[in-house]
Amino acid sequence: MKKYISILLLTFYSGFATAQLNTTLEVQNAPTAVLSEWATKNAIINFIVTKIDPNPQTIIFKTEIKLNDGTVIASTDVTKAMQFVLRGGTTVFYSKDVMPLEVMIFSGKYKTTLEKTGKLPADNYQICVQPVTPDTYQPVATVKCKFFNLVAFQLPFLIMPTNNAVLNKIVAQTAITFRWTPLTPIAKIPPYYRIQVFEILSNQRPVQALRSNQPILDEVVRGITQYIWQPRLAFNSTDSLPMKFIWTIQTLDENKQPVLQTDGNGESRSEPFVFSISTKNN
Amino acid sequence: MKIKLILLLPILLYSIVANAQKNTKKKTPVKLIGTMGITYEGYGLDVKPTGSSFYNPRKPWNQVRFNFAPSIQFNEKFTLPLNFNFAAVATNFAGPYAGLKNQTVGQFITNPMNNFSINPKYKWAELLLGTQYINYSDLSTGDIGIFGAGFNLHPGDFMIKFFTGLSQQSINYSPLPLPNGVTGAYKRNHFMFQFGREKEGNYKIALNFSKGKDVISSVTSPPLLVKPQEGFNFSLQVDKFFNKGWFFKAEVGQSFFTQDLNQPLANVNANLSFKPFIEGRTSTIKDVAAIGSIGKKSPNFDISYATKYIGAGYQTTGFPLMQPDKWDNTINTRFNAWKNKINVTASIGQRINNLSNTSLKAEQFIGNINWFTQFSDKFSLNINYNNFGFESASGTNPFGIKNVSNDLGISPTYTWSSSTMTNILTMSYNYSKYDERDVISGIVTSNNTQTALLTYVPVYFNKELTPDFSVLYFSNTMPSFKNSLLTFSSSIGFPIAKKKVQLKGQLQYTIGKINTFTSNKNLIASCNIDWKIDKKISWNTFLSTNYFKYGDELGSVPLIGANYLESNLRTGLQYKF
Repeated sequence: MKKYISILLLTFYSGFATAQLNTTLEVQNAPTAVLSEWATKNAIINFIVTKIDPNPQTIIFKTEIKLNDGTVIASTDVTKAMQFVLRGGTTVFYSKDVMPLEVMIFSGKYKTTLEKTGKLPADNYQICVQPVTPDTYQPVATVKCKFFNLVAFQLPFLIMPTNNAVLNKIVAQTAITFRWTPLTPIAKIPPYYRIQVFEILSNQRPVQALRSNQPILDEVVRGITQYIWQPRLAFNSTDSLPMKFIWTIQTLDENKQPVLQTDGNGESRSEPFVFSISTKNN
Repeated sequence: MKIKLILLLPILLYSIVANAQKNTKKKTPVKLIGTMGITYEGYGLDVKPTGSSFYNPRKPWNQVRFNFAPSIQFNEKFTLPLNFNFAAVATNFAGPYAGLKNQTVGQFITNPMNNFSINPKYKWAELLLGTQYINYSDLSTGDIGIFGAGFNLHPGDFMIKFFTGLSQQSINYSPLPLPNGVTGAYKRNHFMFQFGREKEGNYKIALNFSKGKDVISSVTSPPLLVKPQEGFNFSLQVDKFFNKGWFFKAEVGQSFFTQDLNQPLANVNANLSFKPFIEGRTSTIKDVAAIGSIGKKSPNFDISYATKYIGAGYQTTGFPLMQPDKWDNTINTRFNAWKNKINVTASIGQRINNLSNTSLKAEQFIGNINWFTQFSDKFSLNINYNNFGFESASGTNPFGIKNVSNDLGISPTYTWSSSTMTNILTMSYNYSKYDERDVISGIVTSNNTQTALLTYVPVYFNKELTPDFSVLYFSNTMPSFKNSLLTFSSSIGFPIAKKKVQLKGQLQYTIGKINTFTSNKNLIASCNIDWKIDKKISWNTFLSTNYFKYGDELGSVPLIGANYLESNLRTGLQYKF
């Protein structure tokens, strides 16, 4: 009999406690795939908590990331979760509060992929957030879930002129064709590709030239992966050595900002290629 | 002030060397080899209608570069090479120094545009001071210039190398000067270490370590887009060369890379750390990479297989532009046949991108062959073919990405001679087809390019003239677009002033036509004047001018017939020690 009374009281208590907090979860549909970036971008997750009574209440967030079929791939280590004290009124919590990566435990291949890439595999996911008590982990509000989709882009690879290609001087002075692979997967809004060519001076290393010289070609094209450059330059050097150039593609989003800002060099520049111009005219 | 100081330094060093040379002349002569010089480059652009923005300058208006690179050989055991190579004006457009105009002395010295290095070497010990491009291996460090100090020791077969310094000074972000402002950068410190054994032409085994870390507190106005980073990696490298030209090379590496040092420590993922070198944060990634090749080299036959795997999270501060998440496999060969009259080089391979499954796996096919045949003393033929295919699913789109590039080049050369001259006639034809599939409609767009070039080069036996004449036709077509170019080019070279001055001039005239627009015209004139003033001093000058006049492709009046005149002067005085 005591057992039934306890269950009844617990049920009553839970219902009462839940009724004290109103929560809303807002999640961007397609946030950046780099999970560590979520902590610096408040727009990705907004968890809005409204507490009706003014009494202070300490909570922690129990957060889970699930696949579409409900399989849990990550959850908060509640023993290490940060505590928050709620008072009357509305408080907005962000990614860094509800999903701090330092206390999230990922499982299986998702853990491996996250450790290798800082991202989760491209897929549809849902995130569920629930405030719980910090000692007994009892829910203090209903769980809220939202779906989101992760897409991880890979920068273009350069195709031609191939690395270390030697071009005919007359042909190169008239036109040079540049080709590269597209940003993958295809973005909904076509990206901008900024193609840059830098001359490598005789005392310079290729990457040194890229980091120091003014580009002799600096063009932005949208969506296409080929550019025919008419250099209108006489490719003659003062030291009789073949003129050398380094070229690269910088991939920009619709706001003309680098599409990947924490990956690699942070500038979304593809690994550059070098080409040179034959000193002979034939 | 800093320029003056830097200019004085080579003069001072030169005086010391000259003095040392004088004093030690009777004992063991000090040898001085190398070069020093100054180069000026001027650029001019005149756009009409004046003030139009259809064409922008592509070089600094004025630039002066200095080089002072002597190597002082005190005796057989002790050498002192110096390399001071710097520009008066910084023109950084990409990377951490982009947009920076007024530099501190520290920023000037570490600017990638400038090199200041002294590498004294005694027997097997070499001291590295100043700017160094340390290249230990393909997976550790090699692309980045670092200003600092270190050493290379090579006692017997052993090698121990160490270097520490900084690759970039702190630079505060600034929205000015317009339009792009100053990108800004954190100060980045590096250290690298290699030890192992090496016997040149026989074997090499080495363990490489490399670390770079940004100093968060080094800037008061942090860069907007660049995060403070930290990277540590190590690799094991083994090279072995066997008899009869067989070789084996391999390297495996492990990297730890923190993409944003502002992120908290990774409490529950402690295996992202490699203490004491790096402490894992929530933005830390770690991965492996491996490269290897095996093959045989001989005078008439080479064959090799090469593989390169770069894990999705493999990043190093020593190769900041290395692109991860790829696996390349290629077979390369070269052989000579028919009494060396046939030379063939070919390679075939595949690249797989996005192996990490964080995006969609993409496959690239790469194949190329170059076949040269000398049929007779008079006739030779070169044929090359390149194929490149890229294929990937494209997410939710109905069709996958498919880009295929095919290039075929045929180039016959006919040579005939008389008692006074040889004539070389080369015809070159290249057909390039680039197909791109639209991922929504599935329609494949073909982009076809044809290039035909005819070149005639007379070679006189009794004259110093070296002329050549070329005509080129270029055509690029795709649906609703056609661009054609017709180029005439000729150059001539000859010596004057008792062969002390070598002159070479070139004229190139191109008529271009885009769709139905009226044709545009381009004239390029250039001239090289190489004057050997004496055995040690030479003065090389290059002048070029480029006049381009548009048709009506830019729009209506006043841009119909818009034009620009671009000129470039590069002149340099070089002294050989």
